[in-house]
Amino acid sequence: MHWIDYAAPQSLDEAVALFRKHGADARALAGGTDLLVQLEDGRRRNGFVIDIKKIPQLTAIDWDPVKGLTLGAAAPCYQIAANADVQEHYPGLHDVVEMIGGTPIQGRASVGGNLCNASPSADSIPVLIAYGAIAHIVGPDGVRHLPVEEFCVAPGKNALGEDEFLAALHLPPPDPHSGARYVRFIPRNEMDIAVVGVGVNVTLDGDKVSAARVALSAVAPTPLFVPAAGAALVGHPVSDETIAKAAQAAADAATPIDDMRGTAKYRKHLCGVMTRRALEAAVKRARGEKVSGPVHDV
Amino acid sequence: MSTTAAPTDKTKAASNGAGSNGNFEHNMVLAKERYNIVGTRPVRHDGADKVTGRALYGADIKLSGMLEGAVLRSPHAHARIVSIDTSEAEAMEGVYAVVTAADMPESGDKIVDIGEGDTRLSYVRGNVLAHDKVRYCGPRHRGGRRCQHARRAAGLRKDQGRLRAAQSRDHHPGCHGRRRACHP
Amino acid sequence: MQKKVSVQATINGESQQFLCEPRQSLLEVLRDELDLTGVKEGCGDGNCGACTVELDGRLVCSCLVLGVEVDGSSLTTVEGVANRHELHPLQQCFLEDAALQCGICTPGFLVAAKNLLEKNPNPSEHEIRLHLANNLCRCTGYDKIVRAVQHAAERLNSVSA
Repeated sequence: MHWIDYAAPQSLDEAVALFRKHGADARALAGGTDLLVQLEDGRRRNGFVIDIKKIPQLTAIDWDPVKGLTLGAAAPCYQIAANADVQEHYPGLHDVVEMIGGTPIQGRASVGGNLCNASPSADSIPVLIAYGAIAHIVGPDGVRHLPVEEFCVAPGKNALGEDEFLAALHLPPPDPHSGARYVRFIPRNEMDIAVVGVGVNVTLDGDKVSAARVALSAVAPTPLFVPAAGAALVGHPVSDETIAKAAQAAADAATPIDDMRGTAKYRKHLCGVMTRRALEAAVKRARGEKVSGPVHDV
Repeated sequence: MSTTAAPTDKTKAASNGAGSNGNFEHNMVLAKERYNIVGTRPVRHDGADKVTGRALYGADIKLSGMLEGAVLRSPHAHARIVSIDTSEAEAMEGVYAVVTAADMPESGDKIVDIGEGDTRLSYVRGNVLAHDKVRYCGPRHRGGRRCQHARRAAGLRKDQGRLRAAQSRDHHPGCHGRRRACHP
Repeated sequence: MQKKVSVQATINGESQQFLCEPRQSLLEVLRDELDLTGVKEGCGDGNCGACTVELDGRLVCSCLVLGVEVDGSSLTTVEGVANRHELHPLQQCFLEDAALQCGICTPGFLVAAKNLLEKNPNPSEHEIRLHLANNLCRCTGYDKIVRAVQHAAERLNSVSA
């Protein structure tokens, strides 16, 4: 690795001052499971690493029935997975955090880092989009809010300004009779990168869908919000037919590439299949049924 | 021939034995004698060192004045090597040597037995340090990272390799070699 | 200015102070500065688990942690698994069940398995395999390793019962 300097600010103000001073040369370090690999192999050349884990707010997980869930950007996956409020109110998020990486990766990797890394195949981003999560971005001028679907701008590139960093993610409180789910397709049971990932969130009003959000990963340059898939459901009763329409809308929106994990054609097909499965599971959750078990199909 | 008859008898005896208690496969040969080692499950002699972390492997040993190596691997499988420019790496302070396939003797294309059956020598040579064509897209397998300097020197060549890859789509340059293995 | 940083950490129960460059991984620090060469380097990017150590009670890949990050922390490496007088039951069972050959992955497996049994004294086979999914073995195979962990769990439970 090239030479780097390291600082571990203890407060948000200290961090703001450091990011302001070092600008584009600075990069936030949370779990480091992506950043340290990228610095080591030269994919990133930042010279100043700012460890944000020592700032108490940045590893906090706060739940409030009115405000919703606030995740510190550096909160590691294992803490989120073990949080009783997350388990009860955000099962779709729980699907993801208990599945990213193996045990030692979960001990370090954060959802905030997964978002900032802006990988097209990031597991947590579709589910954040499905939940309507908002990124809290801190810079010299204070805090600005950005919907997660606008956060990733290109593979590996996010919407943060040079002197900004992600402080927290805010998930609104779930609607009554709503359910979310993340599923992905991978060739093996553990430790793999999604061929296709789908995050969905569905709210029911009686037998009809009153709100729905669908997002995909690994099928476009950035994680992809598909409003058309949600629109295909809203106002319609839950049925195989409406779910099939939403699944088709998801497949139509995908613009995947051919790579070693699958061909574009295969991925487009998978988008439909996985969207259908995710929606079926989310509807079950919205009806109060428990859905657990593996979130990926092999 | 008596040499073939003997094992047949043994096999028969063994399968008879298996028939009586049903615990053995039919073709299993059972010894009539008990041996001190054969048939027992001894704990491996280097086991205690290995489970306590005391065992020393090549990458664990530091000698005074020891040079550290780093290997540049190809970013592409089955890439043709157009050229390898080592000048910048060689010019770096502290770089003792840069080795490519050009530094190795021409082996010729003969078939030799290297202990694991007949092998084409030109293939073996290409597996040590690639010349002409890279066969693998190498995983980054690192033997030890004590010398950051060696890594950076190798990195220099890597960057140049990528540059040329961008210029010539069909002829990806690259260089491949084998790092000091971390297996014992 | 390129300056080394002073770091203090408790490693295998002993307080240690060392100097390291901010760019050095915890793995490099353990192996090269502190001579804890039982910690092995495999892939160097978090896939193989050979460098697994326990950091404040959590498993981490030491190749994905900076040495400077562990200031004030507590670490356990394979060198800290056995006590002064005898092998840990896990180490004993790895030997008896022939759960190692070349031994490069073994330190990571032992640290990871110890972490599991401390949290979950009666893991199912599935739980063992899931917990050890971040540790790769290329010669022995996983069945013997899983069996060794099961036997060690039985042994630990019979001692504590």
